Amino acid sequence: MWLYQRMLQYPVKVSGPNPALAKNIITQYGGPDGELSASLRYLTQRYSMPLKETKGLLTDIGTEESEPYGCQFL
Amino acid sequence: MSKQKEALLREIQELQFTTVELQLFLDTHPDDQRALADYVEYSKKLQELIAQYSKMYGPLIGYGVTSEELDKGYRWIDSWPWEDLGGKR
Repeated sequence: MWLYQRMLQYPVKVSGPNPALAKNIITQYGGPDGELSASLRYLTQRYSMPLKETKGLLTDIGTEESEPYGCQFL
Repeated sequence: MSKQKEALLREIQELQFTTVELQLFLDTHPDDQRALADYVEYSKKLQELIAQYSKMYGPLIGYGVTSEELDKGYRWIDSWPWEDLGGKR
């Protein structure tokens, strides 16, 4: 399950529509090298980490990478 | 969104940034007492402000994680903070 926070990591004020920028941003979010695939890679790879320090680090980085979606996996 | 609400939310965002960075550092430096003390201090401050915000403006997290707002009834669909910052949708 995941929890979402009803807030953004950083305040954003959209001043108007900008399709070109929107395309860039959505690629950064959900594209092949975007935040979503990165966060899921971290959260999957954490299970094969031999050291507790790196297991903890990958768990927290994977969680942090999913912040653009306003969620923390639980 | 009122100036007061926006300022409180901004302070929460700053503390969340701080605690995330400290937590990542502590993953690989679990014995660093200074970082641990900072983490505890900022975490407590963050929890206070989240409770204060929830009480005044409604929940920041649902599913029973924050309960301060519940005496005010069902308010979590009334406002989404990222739609309230004065920008266009």
